[in-house]
Amino acid sequence: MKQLSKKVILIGNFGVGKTSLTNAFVHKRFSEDYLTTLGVKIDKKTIDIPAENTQEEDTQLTLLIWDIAGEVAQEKVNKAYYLGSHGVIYVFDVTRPSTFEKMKEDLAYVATLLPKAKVIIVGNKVDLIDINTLETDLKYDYLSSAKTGENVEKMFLELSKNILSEL
Amino acid sequence: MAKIIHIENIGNILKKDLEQEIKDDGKKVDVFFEMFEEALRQENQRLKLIYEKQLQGIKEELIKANANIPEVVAPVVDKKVEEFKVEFDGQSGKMVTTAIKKQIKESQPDIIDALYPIMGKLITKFLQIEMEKLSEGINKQIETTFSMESMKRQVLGVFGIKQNAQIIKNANKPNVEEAYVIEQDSGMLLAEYTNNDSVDNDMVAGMITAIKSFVKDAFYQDGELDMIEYGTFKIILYNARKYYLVAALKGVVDSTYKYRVLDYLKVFDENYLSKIENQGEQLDNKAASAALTAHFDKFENYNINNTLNTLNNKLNKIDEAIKQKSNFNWKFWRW
Repeated sequence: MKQLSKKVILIGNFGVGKTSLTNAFVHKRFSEDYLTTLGVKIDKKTIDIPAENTQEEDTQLTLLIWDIAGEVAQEKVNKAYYLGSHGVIYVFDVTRPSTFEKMKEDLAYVATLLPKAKVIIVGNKVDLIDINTLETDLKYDYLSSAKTGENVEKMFLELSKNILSEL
Repeated sequence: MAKIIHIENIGNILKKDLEQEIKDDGKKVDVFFEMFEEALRQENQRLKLIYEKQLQGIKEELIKANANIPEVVAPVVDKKVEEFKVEFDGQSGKMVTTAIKKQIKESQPDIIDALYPIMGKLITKFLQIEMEKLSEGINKQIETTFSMESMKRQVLGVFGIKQNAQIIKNANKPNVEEAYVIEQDSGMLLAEYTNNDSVDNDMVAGMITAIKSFVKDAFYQDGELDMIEYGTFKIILYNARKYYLVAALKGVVDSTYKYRVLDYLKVFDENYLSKIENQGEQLDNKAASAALTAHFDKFENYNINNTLNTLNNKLNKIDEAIKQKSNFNWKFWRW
């Protein structure tokens, strides 16, 4: 089995549930005090990804998940935390339009810093609303709930596969 | 006999007189107090009348200055507030102090539970700093012991380092617990040497990178963080272009040891990382970890050899100084 380690970052506005999503996905983690002190918290999870065909090797992928506090705005977050990331999970809160109003600009900014990174857009807290009431033009890859665990594993798995596909 | 009776009579008369006199004096005292009380009563009455008149005057003034009541009252209120503050400080201060003392006395076990871990850390840190100072002192002593000045003073004191100082130094001998090669941008761990399996090195590497970036962003725009101290750990960082090397040291780490480790990280960079970069190869994590482990397994020898080299250099200098002295022109000296 091939062993690899990759860096993934979770970004999005304050209170959208980035930390809750990470906590729902990983079991071994550092204290959350670091998030308020440094503006970042690092967690780790290893997942096995079976090969798509028999000629290839299965992969054991270790994800180093950097949960970055606060907003994506350029002046507010230490740019260095983004660097070297292979994957990005952009999280917004489906119940608060203010958290996805600037999605386009935020993603453009991320693209300038990480042009090769794979990006997944996630609308979190889906357990709090009726999906049919969501804006029809809202773009996202997954609707998740850290509370119920809905789509949490799936989105990390898809991001991992996307990262591996580029190697 | 008759004479005696006479004297007794005189005694009785005197006794009666004396008793009468005391009674009279007692009456006089009572009368005096009655008069004194009456005088006080009168004085009180007089003062009461004066104050009543003054208060009446103030009331009348207040009524007249009805429109300006706040202005008239304000100074009085201010004065009262000031008086209250003074009284409050005096009275409540005592009450609060007493209450706190009582609370502390009643909750001693809780306070000890709360303070014990903090005190423990402080004491450990304090001891470590003191040990470092002691270790620096011993190193300085080694250097001065081998100086010419010292040789002149005490030939037999060349090895005059106290045995107990050596024992203390050895008991807290520093050692390299962990060493990492980390990618600068991503903070990904590329190679590791470890003596401690309980640490998740991937996450530690990430956090060190985050701290490094944070410090650079917040304080050192133009520089780089070269050391982090955490409890009894000292984490030394050496920048090697797209990588950086880290050594986590435990024990009493004096500046000599720190710079020796830093030099040793530099040696690894020159002998291994630079070569791979110059050959345009990608760093293989397993091979790099094996190389780093082999490198740090030899660190003790490197450390001892460096110490011996330092001593040799000192001895060579002493030797040269002695030779120069033997060529001294004694004839010239006599004049």
